[in-house]
Amino acid sequence: MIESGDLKKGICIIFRGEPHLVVDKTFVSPGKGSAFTRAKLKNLKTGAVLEFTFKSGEKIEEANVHTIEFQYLYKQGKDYFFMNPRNYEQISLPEEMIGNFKNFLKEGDIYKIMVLEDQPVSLIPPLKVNLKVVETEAGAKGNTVTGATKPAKLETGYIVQVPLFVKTGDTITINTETGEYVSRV
Amino acid sequence: MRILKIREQIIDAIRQFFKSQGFIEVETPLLVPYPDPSPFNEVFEVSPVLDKRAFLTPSPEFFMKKLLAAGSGNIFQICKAFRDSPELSPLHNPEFTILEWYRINADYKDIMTDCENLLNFISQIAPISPKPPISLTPPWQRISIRQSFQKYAGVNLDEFLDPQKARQICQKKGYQINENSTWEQLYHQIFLNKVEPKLPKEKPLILYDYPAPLAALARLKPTNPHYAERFEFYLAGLEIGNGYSELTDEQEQERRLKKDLEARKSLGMRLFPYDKDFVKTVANLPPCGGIAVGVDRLIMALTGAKTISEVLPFPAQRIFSP
Repeated sequence: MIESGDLKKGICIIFRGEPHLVVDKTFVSPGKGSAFTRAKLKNLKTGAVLEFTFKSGEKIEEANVHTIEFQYLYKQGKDYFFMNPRNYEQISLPEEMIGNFKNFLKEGDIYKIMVLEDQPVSLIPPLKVNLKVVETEAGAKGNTVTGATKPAKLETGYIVQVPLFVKTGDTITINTETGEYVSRV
Repeated sequence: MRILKIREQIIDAIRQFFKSQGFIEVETPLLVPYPDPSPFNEVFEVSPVLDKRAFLTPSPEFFMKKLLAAGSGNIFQICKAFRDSPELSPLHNPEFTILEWYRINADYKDIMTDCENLLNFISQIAPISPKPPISLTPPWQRISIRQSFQKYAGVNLDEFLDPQKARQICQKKGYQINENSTWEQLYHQIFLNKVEPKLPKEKPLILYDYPAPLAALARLKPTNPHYAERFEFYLAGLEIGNGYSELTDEQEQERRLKKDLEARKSLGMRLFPYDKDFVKTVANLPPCGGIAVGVDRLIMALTGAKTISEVLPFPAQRIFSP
């Protein structure tokens, strides 16, 4: 059991009998009221996201989850297929459990997947990924305007705004939460 | 920089609005010996002054009321206030700008009208850009807390005022309750989960007549003492201001201060004596209404900013980050 004040992004709890991932949490203090914790919770079985405000000191049951590394294989319809490289076991996750990270999944790469009672439930996206630029216009020579950007297509098909000096064939780092360019590798 | 300029224009408009109506702009101490003991705000304690404990004020209210009792007439102030919350949030900075005004021979309904007129005035002078757009033209929508509980949570607040009933209602709705849960927590559990998220956001909104246990420094309704003449106004779903028909009964005032200090004690918060001079002051207060407005949040709502950090040049989140 943990207390509502200990809620953290990324942990899993049992809420109303169902396993939920804490996607976000903020401190709330109403005008003339005591401290509360507002959490955004993602149901690990249905993918549904809801908000709930816990009063301080509320007892919350932690869900019994662990993570296993899987290799991403391919996508079929709305399902994403992965393989456990140690025993070749194959699993699939629905799109809701991949979220925006679907833009950055690269075939053959290894990802962490959360497992709840032997059931794979959700992908844990790394905060940053390195991906290759497969297509972008050559930067106009002499253009040194700071902050100027151009679109670049990544090997996963995702299009991101990058600084003008980035070239086709470069590898760049992307923040997977914001989907934005961070740096050139 | 864009928001900084709008910030200045909004604050100028506020000054112009009150000065044009003959309100006196006042300044009261930020460094105080007896802060407001509300159990919902922790205070910052600093080095003693003249060997007496000193605090950064969480609100200018007590000193402004001393001026009112001394015959100042209508007054307003824009100053800093300090509240030590256990965590920062997108809506909390430990040091923030507060606007308070007091109108004599007036009550909370007059202050509601002031709010409507003030916001309407600001919208004509400053280049505001709320997102999504909000129409600030008076009159605003007004809903009593009792109506909002009935409409959005299906809870009869008259029944909920009874602590036993409140526990039953919360239990039935599936909320966790233990022996330490206070009535205020149960009330806010319903309000924050069922009522606040459903409040209309496209127009400003006034919520009024709070339950007596949440009266703070408001007068109880003469016609129904279970409720207090307190209101809050919301813009874009954000709680911006909190106003009252001010309490002018010194005995009731003293009783509430003592109760607040007891609550602080049971919550393990900082303890300090209450301001006896302020209690005497309350007896000499003219009938008046007043309000505290969070200026940073007001600017957030009027510029479409999502976090308080966006409207502050130096947010605590940044200057205190490790």
